[in-house]
Order: sequence, then C-alpha cells, then structure tokens
Amino acid sequence: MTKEKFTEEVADMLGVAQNELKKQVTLESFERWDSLSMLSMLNLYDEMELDIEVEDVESCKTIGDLFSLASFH
Amino acid sequence: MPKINFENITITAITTTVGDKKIYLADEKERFGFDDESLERIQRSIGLESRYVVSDGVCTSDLCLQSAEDIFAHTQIKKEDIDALLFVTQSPDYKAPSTAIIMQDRLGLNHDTAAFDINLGCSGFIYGLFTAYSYINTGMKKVLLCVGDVNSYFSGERDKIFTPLMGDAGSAIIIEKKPAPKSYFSLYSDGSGYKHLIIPAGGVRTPTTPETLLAKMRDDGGIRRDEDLFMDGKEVFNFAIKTVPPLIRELLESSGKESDEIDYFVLHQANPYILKTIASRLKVPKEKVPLQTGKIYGNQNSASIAGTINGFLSDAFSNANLTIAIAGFGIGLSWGGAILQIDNIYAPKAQLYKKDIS
Repeated sequence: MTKEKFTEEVADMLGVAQNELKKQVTLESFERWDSLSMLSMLNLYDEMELDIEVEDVESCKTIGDLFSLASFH
Repeated sequence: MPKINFENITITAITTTVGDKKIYLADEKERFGFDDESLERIQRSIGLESRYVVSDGVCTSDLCLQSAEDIFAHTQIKKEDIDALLFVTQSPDYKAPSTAIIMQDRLGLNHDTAAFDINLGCSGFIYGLFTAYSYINTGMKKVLLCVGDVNSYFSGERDKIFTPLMGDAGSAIIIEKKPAPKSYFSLYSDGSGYKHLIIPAGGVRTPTTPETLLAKMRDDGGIRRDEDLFMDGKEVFNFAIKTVPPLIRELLESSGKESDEIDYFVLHQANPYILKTIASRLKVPKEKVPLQTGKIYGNQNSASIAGTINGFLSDAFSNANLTIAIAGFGIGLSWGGAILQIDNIYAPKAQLYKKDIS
C-alpha cells in the first residue's frame, strides 16, 4: 500500500480531510478516535500484512505514530 | 488436557430455528440513540444489518424443540433411539430444574434418557459436541444436542454496545455411531477474563434487588441493567483474534491436515468484523470462512455454528462429504475447536419459529 492510499484510508476512518492529518496532531483531538476506529486501523495494518496488535494501536498518541507503525515517515 | 480424538462417531443432522421477528438496525436508530453517521459507521465497519429475535415469552427450548421435531419428522432417526439430551444455553426456562429434563417430556423421549443443561455461551457448540461424542464413545446409540439462546432476554433494551449484535436461535444436532474418519477436539478455559462478558446480577454472588433491575447509563455509553449482559468489546475482540488462529493451527497440526484440505472454517459468528480479521490472520481463502450470520441473523451464541450451516451452507452440507474446522470462543472466557468430517447430512435451511408448534 502506498503512503497516499494509507493517508486516504486514515482520513476516511477519522472522517476528516487529508490535510488535517499533520504528524504532531494528537489522536485524542479527533471525535472519531474510539474503539471502532482503532479496530479499523488494525484491519488496515492486517491488510498490509504487518504484525500489529491491538495494544500497538492503543499506544499511538499522534497521527505520526499511526504512520510510523506502517513504516511511513 | 491431552488432545482428544474420536473415531466412527459423526453428526447426522443439524437444524436451526430462529426468532420470527426480523429487525433492521436502520429502524432502531432512535432506540439506541444513533445518528446517521454512527449508524453508517457501524453498518460499514462491523457489518451489521439485521437480526432475528423472538416475541416476548418464547424460550430457547421452544426454538430447539421445533428444530428437534423437524429432524424426527424428516429423517429415519427415531425418538426411542435417543439415549441423551444435552441442552447448552444461558437462557434456561427456569433457574431450576435443568430445561433438558422438561424437553425430554415435551419431545416424548424415553425415561431412560440422560438429560441435563450445560451453561455455556459462544463456545457451547464445541463443548456440547465434545460431550455428545464422549457419550457415544461410552456406548450410547444417539445423542440429541440442543444449543442456543434467546439473547434478547438479557440484552439491554437500549444498550447500543451489545444489543444490536444479538439474535435469537435454537438448534438441534444428532450425534451417532457410524463409520467415520477421526475427529479432533481442543478445549480451553481462562476464568481470569470472566468480567469481560458477564451478567453481573441475579445469581447468588449478587442477588436481584430493585437496584439491579434499574437500567442506567454506563461508562461505555450503553444503557443497561445489572441483570443484562455486559460486554467489553475491545477485550473480547482482542481475545478472539489472539486465541482463534492458534487454536485452528493446533487442530490442523494434531489432525495432520493442511489448511487447503479444509472445505469450510465454520467459526462462532461473533460479528462479521471479528470473522474478517480472524480469516485474514488465518490466511485462508475468504470463501471458506462464512461470516454473514451476524449481519443477517445476529450473534446466536452457542447456536451460531449450526445457524451458519443451516443459514448459508445448507446445500453443501446436504450434498457433499466435507472436512470442516469449527471453533467457538467467548463468555467465560472459554474457547474450543474441532476438525470433523461430515458426510451428506440432514441440514435444511434455517427456519422461522412458528407459534403454533410447541
């Protein structure tokens, strides 16, 4: 999966425009960041065949952390 | 526990009866307080659409009785050949006695029938099947296994977390001695997770009081009583995706089978989302892992494996010799699985509960 596609998926999951996904923005600031969106993230990582667990997603604090898990910088 | 296998024991009939009321989630927006956006998210990400529930007063035993009578009416299996009736449920007719004993009489089975209930939920099909296989192994001729729940009885009226997932169903399964290849079972328990899925009040530990009967807004946003089932969705999801894939791999190993020798992986239908995640972690073709039961019928607890076979695989199970892997996981926490061969059995399409029978 390309970084562009990943960005599109994350924006769609959080229900925001792609330009709102700045690295340092905290996940807590998004209304939609809840257990359902955490599971959607996990599924996205699964689709990318990455070895990510629920705890890894839970420990993410910022948009940048979500991208780092997928090795996008 | 040693890995257990059985030889020359098999399933010969499976029927499922579901609640007669079909409810669409889209029609329950007000009940659960969903706005259009959250409704769309739930439909899209978890994959929910509708569920079948009973009318007030219908018990799990009524659904199972209709399923069992259907088998006796349409196969050569005779009531007098049933040596044991096992009923797996969390929604018995009474707190005591065991509902299975009342069902012995309602079905007109012989007095020399062993009958008792087993209190299990989502893992219950596997445990019930294991018990039935064990009884046949000791010399019984045929065992009638009934499984299911009227989940709507203990689902909070306005609990948006749990209730939209759940449906009502009761299945009947016949297990008997017959030439058949080996079947393999694995069973597990972890009571440290009992609080993740629990009806907190109404037992001896926390007896019913006026307080436990009050529906309240809870921290997770669901409105429920202490007499309703509480589910910590995230913990249960995490438990399911961590335990089920290794369980299936273990069963494949003990049976000496490759995953491409398995025709279907019929797993407990918690919800389509969990099934999708487990299927992708198992790395098996999607078409071998049915996951639509939760979307159409709702989560049927111990009836969900039978409910999936009758709901979506009726033709395949009625007309072919199949090797299947099955697994149940949930309340307890409890989980288990089996690899079995099933050869042209009686497996009609799931039926709606008819009020005039029973």
